[in-house]
Amino acid sequence: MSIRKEAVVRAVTKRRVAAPRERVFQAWTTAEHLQRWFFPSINGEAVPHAEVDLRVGGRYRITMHAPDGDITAMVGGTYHEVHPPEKLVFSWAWEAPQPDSAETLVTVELHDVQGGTEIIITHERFPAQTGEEEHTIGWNCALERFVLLMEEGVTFPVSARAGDPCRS
Amino acid sequence: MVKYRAHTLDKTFSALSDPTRRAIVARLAEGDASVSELAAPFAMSLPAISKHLRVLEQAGLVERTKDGRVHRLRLVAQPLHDAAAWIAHYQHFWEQQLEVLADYLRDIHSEEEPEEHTP
Repeated sequence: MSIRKEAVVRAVTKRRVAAPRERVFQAWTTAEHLQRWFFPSINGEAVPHAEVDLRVGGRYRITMHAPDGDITAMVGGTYHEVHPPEKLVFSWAWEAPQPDSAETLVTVELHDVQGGTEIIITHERFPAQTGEEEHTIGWNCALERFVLLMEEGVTFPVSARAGDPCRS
Repeated sequence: MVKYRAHTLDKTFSALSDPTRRAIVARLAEGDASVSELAAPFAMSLPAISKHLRVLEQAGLVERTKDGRVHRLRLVAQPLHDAAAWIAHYQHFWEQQLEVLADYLRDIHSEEEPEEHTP
């Protein structure tokens, strides 16, 4: 069930919220809560709907309907890990307005911190199936280097220089 | 939902799934190079390196120019920009989601608070 290939790219987002882990976990894993926060209705007219089958292998789907019933957004996937109240891993694919070509993987980690919970979301995209490819190195330091090069003009003529993501 | 050229992105990710090819991309990020310059740091034959280069070329990550008999390789920025844009897009998306979640958790807490404070 779990994806064992190494991700080539991943987006990591962190945020602290003033609520205990149990409450945060509930907000992520019950349809009643998800449809109240996941697709906030900007104009108050859209109608959100969520379906949750909270078990490993179970599916979730969150849908946003326009007032005329048309689906304006839909995302869904399968639960890979369910560890209340600390961790949730699920696959992710938009079905509408434009379907994704492949599933990606989202990990939600909840850590106890003073005054509440720190939420860490890791969204990973895996390379397409290529058979005998090796996937031995995790984070793509070449891509990080490239981004540094493009955005900050940092170059890496010497691999040992400080701040080089490929060092180590 | 912003869409990136999904097919191209898949080819980019697939091409970058190999450590040798990532190292080649990292080397080319520092400047253009010939095939033998690229092969030098690897314990690999020229044909083996050429095979990796073909994968990178097919993914549109690398372009080849001929300077007489010497083939020079150049990194093409766009596919990597698309991959970086995918990351930026989802970071922004999840930041927004967590902002909304934080507000929501505060709202439901204050809805329940009066009961919690009843002696």
